[in-house]
Amino acid sequence: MEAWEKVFVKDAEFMQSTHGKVGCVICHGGDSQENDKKLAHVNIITDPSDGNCNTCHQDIAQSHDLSLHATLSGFESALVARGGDVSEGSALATVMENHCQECHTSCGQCHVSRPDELEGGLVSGHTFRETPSMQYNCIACHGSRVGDEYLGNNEGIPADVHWTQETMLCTDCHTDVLHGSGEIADTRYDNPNAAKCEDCHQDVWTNTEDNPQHEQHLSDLSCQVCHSLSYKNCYGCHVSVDPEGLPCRTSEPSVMQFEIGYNPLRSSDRPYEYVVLRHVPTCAGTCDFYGESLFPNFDNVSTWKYATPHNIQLHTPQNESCDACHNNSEIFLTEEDIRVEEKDANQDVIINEFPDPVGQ
Amino acid sequence: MKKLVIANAIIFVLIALVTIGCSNKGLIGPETGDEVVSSCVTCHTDKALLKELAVDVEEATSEETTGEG
Repeated sequence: MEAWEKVFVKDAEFMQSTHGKVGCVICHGGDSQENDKKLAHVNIITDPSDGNCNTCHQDIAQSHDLSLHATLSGFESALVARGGDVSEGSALATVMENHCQECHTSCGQCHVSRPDELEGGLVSGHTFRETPSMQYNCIACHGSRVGDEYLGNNEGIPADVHWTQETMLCTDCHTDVLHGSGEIADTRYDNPNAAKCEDCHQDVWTNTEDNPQHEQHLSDLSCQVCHSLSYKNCYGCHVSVDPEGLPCRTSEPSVMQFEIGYNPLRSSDRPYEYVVLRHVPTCAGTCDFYGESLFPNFDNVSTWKYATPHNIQLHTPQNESCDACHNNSEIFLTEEDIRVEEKDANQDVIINEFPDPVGQ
Repeated sequence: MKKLVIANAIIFVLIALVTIGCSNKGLIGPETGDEVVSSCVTCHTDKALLKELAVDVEEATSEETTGEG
C-alpha cells in the first residue's frame, strides 16, 4: 500500500457519517486549523481507538479489552504454564513486550485500517466497517496457517469447502467470539461463543441414521479428524534482539503434516478423545537469548496443540474407508514423530495404541 | 440619555455574541463547523495532494528475522 493510499479518505461522505461528524482532531489530535503539514500533525495519534471507542460502544469495548486480541493472554498463559516468570521486569516480560505485543489488535485495526503489523493503512477510505475485511484484516494476521489453508495456498492441498462452495468469510463463523467472552481466556477455544461445526451442521448430530461413520464416531472424534487435510506445522522458533537493538525471530521451515492425537483440551464443549494436533513454533530454547532456563516446567504443556485446520473437505484420504484410518499409522502422532527433547512434554497426546483394523 | 441607550444596546449585543460564541465550546460534532471544514479534510480527501506530500514512515524491523510468522 502506497503511503498516500494509507491516509486517503476516499469516501468523502464519511464526513457526514456518525463517526465523521465527531471531527478529526477529537480522535486523532493534531491541529485542524494549521495549514502547514508538519505543524498540523504535531501530537497526531494515528490509531486512536484504544480508549476512545468505549465512549459510545461501551459493552463491546469492555469485552474487547479482555479478549485475546487485546490482552494476548494466550501467550502469557502458555509461558506461565511452562513455569515462566512474566512478572514486571522479568526476562519474559521483556520477551512479551518485544515479540508478543505486535499482535495486539485495537478496534481500529479490525474495523478501520489494516493492522499495525502490516504497517496500517485505511481499508475502505475511513469507513468504519462493522464486518472487518477478510483479506486486509483477518488474514493479514492469521495468514500463514489458517489463511493459507482456507484459501488453498498450500501446494497440493485444496481450499476449504466453506470457501470454494459458499465463499464464506471468517466472520460468518467467527462472530461474537472476536470480541472475547468478557473474561480473560487462556486459549481461543476458551470461549462459549467459539465457532463450532454444529452451529450450522446440527443435522449431522440429530440425523445419524444414514451415516454409520457419524453414528460411530461423533462423540469421540473431532470433526477435523475425518474432514481436514494436511496443515502447516512450525518448529524451532527463537526470538532475540539483533545488533541494532531490533527484536527479531528465526524459525525452521514449516512442515505440512496431518497428525491425530489425544485431545489435550478435553471438556464438555470438546469431549472428543481424538483430535488433530498442530505443532506450535515454541521449543525449550525459544527464549534462550533472554536468559537461561526460562521455562523450568517446559514439559508441563504439549508442543502439539489442539487444532482446527481450515481446509475442510467432505471426502478426505482418511475417511475413504474404515481402514484408511484404522489401519494407517502414518496419520497418528506417535513417539517416532516427536523430537527427542519434546517427548516428555507430549506424553499425554501421543497415540500408543492404534485403532484395530476393521477389514473395510 | 440617548447615548446611554445606544451604549447599553452595544453592550447587550456584545454579551450576546460572546455568549453564542461560548455556547458551542465542548460540543462534539459538526455543529461547531470547525472540524468538517478543516485542513485535515482538505488534504486527506485530495488524492493528488496526498500523492505529492505523503511520505512512508518506515517502521524499523530487523533484517535478521526469518521464517514464517
